[in-house]
Amino acid sequence: MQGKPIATNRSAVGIPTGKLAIWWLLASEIVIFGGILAAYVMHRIGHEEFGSYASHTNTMAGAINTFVLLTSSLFAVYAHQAAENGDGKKAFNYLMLTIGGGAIFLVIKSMEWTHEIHLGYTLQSNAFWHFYYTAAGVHALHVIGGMIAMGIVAFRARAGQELQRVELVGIYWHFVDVVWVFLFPLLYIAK
Amino acid sequence: MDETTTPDIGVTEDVPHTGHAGHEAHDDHGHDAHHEEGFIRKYLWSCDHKVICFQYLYTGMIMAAIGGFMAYCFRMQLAFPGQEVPLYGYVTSAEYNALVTNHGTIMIFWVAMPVLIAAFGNYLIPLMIGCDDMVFPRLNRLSYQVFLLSAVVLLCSFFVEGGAFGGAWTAYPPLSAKAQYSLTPLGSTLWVVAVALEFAAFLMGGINFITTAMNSRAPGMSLWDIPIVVWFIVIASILFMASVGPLIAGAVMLIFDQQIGTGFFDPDRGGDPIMWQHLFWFFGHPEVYVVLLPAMGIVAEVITVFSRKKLFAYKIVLYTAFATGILSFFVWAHHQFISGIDPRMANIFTVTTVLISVPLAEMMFVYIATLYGGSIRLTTPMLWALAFLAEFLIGGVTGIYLGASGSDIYMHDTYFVLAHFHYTFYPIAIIGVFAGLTYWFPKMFGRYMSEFWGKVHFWITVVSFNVIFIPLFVLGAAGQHRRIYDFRNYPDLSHEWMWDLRQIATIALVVMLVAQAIFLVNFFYSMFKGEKAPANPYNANTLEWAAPSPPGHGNFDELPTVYRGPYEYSHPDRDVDFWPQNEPPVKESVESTTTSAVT
Amino acid sequence: MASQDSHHDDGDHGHHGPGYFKVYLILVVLFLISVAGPEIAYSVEMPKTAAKALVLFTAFGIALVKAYYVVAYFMHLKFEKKIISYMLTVTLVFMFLFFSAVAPDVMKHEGSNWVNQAAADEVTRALKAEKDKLLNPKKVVIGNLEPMPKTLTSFARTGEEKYQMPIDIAMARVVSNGARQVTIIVPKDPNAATEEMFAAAEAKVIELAANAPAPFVPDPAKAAHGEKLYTSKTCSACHSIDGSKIVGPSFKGFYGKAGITDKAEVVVGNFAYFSESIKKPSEKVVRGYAKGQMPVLPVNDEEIEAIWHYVASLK
Repeated sequence: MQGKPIATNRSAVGIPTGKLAIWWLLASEIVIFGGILAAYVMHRIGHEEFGSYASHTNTMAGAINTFVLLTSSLFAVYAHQAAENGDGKKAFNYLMLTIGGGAIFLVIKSMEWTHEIHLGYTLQSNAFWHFYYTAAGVHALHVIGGMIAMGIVAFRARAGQELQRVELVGIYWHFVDVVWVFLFPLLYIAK
Repeated sequence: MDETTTPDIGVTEDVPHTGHAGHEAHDDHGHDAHHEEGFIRKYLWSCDHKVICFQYLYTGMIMAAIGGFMAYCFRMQLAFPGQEVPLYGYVTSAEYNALVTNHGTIMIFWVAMPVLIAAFGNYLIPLMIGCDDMVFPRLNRLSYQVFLLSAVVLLCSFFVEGGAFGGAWTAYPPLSAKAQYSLTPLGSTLWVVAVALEFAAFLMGGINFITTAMNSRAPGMSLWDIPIVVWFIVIASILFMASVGPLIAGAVMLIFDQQIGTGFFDPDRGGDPIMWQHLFWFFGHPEVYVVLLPAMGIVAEVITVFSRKKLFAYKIVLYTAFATGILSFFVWAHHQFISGIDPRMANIFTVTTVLISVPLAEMMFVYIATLYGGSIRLTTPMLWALAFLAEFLIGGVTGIYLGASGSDIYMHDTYFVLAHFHYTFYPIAIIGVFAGLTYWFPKMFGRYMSEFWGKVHFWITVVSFNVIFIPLFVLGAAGQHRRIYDFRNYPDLSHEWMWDLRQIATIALVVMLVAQAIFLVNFFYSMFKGEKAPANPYNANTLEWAAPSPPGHGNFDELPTVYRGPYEYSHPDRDVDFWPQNEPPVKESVESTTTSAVT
Repeated sequence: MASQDSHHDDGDHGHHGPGYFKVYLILVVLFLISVAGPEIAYSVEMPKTAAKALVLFTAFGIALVKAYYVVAYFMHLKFEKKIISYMLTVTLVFMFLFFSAVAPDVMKHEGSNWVNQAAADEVTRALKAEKDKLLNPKKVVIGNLEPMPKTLTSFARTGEEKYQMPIDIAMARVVSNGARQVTIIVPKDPNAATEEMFAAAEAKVIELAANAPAPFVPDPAKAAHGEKLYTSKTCSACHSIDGSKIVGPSFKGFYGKAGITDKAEVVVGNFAYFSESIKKPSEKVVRGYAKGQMPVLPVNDEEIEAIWHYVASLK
C-alpha cells in the first residue's frame, strides 16, 4: 500500500483531517440515534401503558452498565493522554482496559436480556419492547464496532504507529457513552 | 504546508498520458506509471478517486439502462394493455407493481445519486480544489464496494420467491411491512436492505467529500474561491448526512416488522404507520435537493465557461443554496397532505413549501443574468445546460400547485404529480448529467466527443422527453390515478383521447430510449478514437483544467496554488478572456493595469 | 503523522479544564444522583406531580449535564474550533424539528377534527391487560403474532388475480379513507371454517341433544380412584365439577353433551373424545376456549379410564 495522499495531510480549516471526519461521523450518528429516540419518545408520551411495561426492565443492570461505560470512558481519555505523550505501550494498556469495559457492558446486557426474554418480554411483545430492544441493540452494535476499531488502533499504537488515532477512537467511544447516558433514563427509569 | 511533506504518491513520476486513465482493461497499460499493477488492482481495487468516479459512473449507466427498460415495460402495458411487450412478454399486475417500484428506486438511488454526487463528486472535488486525491482513499473504495453490493442485492430481489418488492418506492406500511399484504416476503426485505446499504455507502462517501473539501484545498484557496459545483456537492452531502439518519432507523424498524414480527408500524400493537411516512419523507424531501444541487452546480460551471462571463453574484448563489438546504428540512410533510396528518401541520407545510421556490427562482435568475450579455457558445454541454434551466423551470412551476394543500388534495396520486416529478428529476439526473459528461469528457479521457452527434442526441432526447411528459400532465389533470395497472377497467379513464395520449407518451419513450444509443456510441467511440484534446480545451479557469488530460495518478504535475476566484472570465485588463485560478499574478501587474487604463 | 494532532491539543486540558479524574468523579456523583432520584420518587410517599418532577429533573436533567461533561471534557469539544460545535448543533436542531413536526401525529391520538382510533384503542386495551396481569400474574400475554401464510406467496407471479392485493386498490383505500381507517382484507385461511359449516354443526348438535344416550353406569372403585386423580393430576385447576367455567369447560354434565369445535366439527362427550383430548389437548378445542392452554399430562390409559368413570358420573 502506498502512503497517504497529500490531501490527507492538509488542514485548511485548522482541524486535523481524521478528527474532522470523526466529528462528521458523529454528526451522522446523532441523526440515526435521534431518529430512533425521537420516535420512541413520541410513542412513550402517547402510550400511557409503556410506563408499566418499563417497570419490568432491570434498572440496576442499566445503572451498572452506565457506570461501566463511564469508567471505560475514563480509560479512553487516559489512553489519549498517553498517546499524546508518545507512549504507545501505555496507550495500548489503557485501550485494552476500555475494551474490557465494553466487554463487561455486553456481558451484563446479555444477562439482562436473557432474563427478560425468559420472562416473556421479547422483541415481538409490543411497541415498548420493540423500541427497547432495537434502541439498545443498535447501541450495542456501536459498542461492538467501537471495540473492534479500538482493538485495531491499540495494536497499531503499541507499535508506535498512528498514535493520533487513539484520540479519534476515544471520541467515538465517548459518543457511544453519551448515547447510553440518554438511553438509560429513557428506557429504564421513565415508568 | 504540503510542500514540506514528501509526496510519496506518483506526482513526480507521471509520464504523459495518452487516452483513457481508467475505465476498462485495454491494450496500452504501459502508458501509466503504475504499469506493474494488474487489471484488478488498477481498475477494480483502486483507491484513485478518478477510477472510483468511473466505477460509479458505469454502474450508474448500467442501472440507468435497467431502470429505463423497466419504464419501457410498464409504459407499454399502460398504453397497450394485455398485449405482450416485445423483449419482455406479458406484464402481470404483480410484475407491473414490481417494475414501477424498482424503476423509481433505481433511478433515484442507483442512478441520480451515484452519478451526480458520487461520480462527479469523486472526479471534481480533488481536481477542482487542487489536491492529489480524496483524504480517505480506502474509505472511498469501500464506499463504492458497498454501493455495488447494494445494487446487486436490489437486482437479486427479482429472482427470489414471490418476486421483487411492489409496494411503491415510498414503501408505506402496512403494504410494505407485512408479507400477507405485499406477497413479496423476501423481495421487500431485500429492497430495504439494498436501500440501507446504499445509504451506508453514501454516508462514507459524503464524509469523505465534506472533509476533503473543507481541509484539503490548495494553498491560497479561500472559501469564496471554491467553484460552485464543489460547494454544491458538499452542501448536498451535508443535507444527505443530516437527513438520512431517521430513515436508517426506519429501515431497521421496517426490516424487523417484515422478518421478525415486530409492530413498529402497526397501530394495534402500539406502533404508528404514519411514523414511517415521516421517517421516509424527512429524508425523501431533502433528497430532492441532494441531487438537484450538484446538477445546478454543473450547470453553473458550463454556463460561465460558454458565456465567457463571470458568474453573476457568486456569493448570492451560495447563500441561496444554504437557504434552500435549510428550508428543504421544513417541507417534507407536503407529501402527506392526505395521509391523515394533523391538519394544522398541513397549513405550516404549505407555507414552507411555497417559500422554498423563492431561493430556487433566485438561482434561476442568477443563471439567466450570467447569460445576459455574454458571448454565448452553443456547444453541446451548453445546450444541455440551457435545456436544464428551461425544463427544470416547468418542473418547479407545476410544483406550486402540489405544494398548496388545497389543490394537492385534488392532484394527489394522479399523473400530474408524476409528470411534475419527472420534470424535476429528468433535468437533474439526465440533462444535468449529460451536461457534465459532455463538458468534462475532454478532461476525463483527453479526447473530444463528436459535436454533431452530441447535438443530434441532445435534440432527440429533449424533444422526446417533452412529448412523454406533457401528455401526462393533461391526463393527470383529467384524473388519471397513478397506481392503476390496466385502464380498461375504468370507463372514466378509457376515452379515446386518453388512449391516444398514453400511446403518444409511450412511443416517445421508446424513441428516447433508442436515442441513447447515439450517446453511448459517441461516448465510447470518442474515448478511443476521438480527436485529441489539449489540457484546457475551453480556456476555462478552474483548477481541473490545469492538470493534464487525462490526469494521471496524483492529478497534477505540480500541485497548484490559487490566486483568485474561479469565474474571472473576460476581465477587462487581460488580453485573453480567461484567467486561470492558479496563474500567478504578474509582478508588474499594477503598472500594466494603469497603462491599459490610460490607453 | 503522529505530530499532526499533538501540536494542536498539547496541554489543552491541563490549562483549561479540570483533570480527567476530577471530571470522572463529577460524572460518578451525577450518575448516583440520577439513579437515586427516581428510586426515591418511586419508593417514598409523595404527591404524583412532585414525584414526576423529581424523576424528570434527576433522570433527564442530570443526563444532560453528564452528556455535557463527557462531550466538553472527554471529547475536548470545549477546546475545539467552533465549527464542530456548529455542525453538531445543526444536526440536533434538525432532530428537534423532526420531533416537533411529527409528534402531533404520533404522540396525540385526537385533534380538532381527527381521531387516531387504533392507537387510542390500543392504549385502553394494553392498560386493561396490564391491570389484569397484575391480578393474575400467571397469564403472560406475549404479543399477538400472526404467522405468515406461506402458501400465498407462490401466487404472486402466477397472474392469478384473486389472491393479489393490487396496489391500486390498496392505495385507493388510502386515498378515500385516510391511512388510519384503512382495513385491508387479509386473505382468508383456506382451511378456516365458514359460517355455513357452523350452522350445519349447530343443527347437528340440536339433533344429538334430542336423542341423548342412556345414563352412564360408573364402576364405583374406578370412580373413587378417578376422584383422587382429578385433584392430584391438576385437572381441577382448569375444569370445575360444579358447572362453572375456569379455563377449560366444566366436567359437570360432560357425559353425552355435544359441542362444536373452532373448526366446526361436532364432538360428543364420550370416552373416545375424552381420552383423545387428554393425549392431544389442542386437537379438538371447543369453540370459545383458548387453544394451547392445556398441557400434556403424565397419565396412563388406566388412569384416564379411572378419571373418565369419575367425570362421567358427574350429573
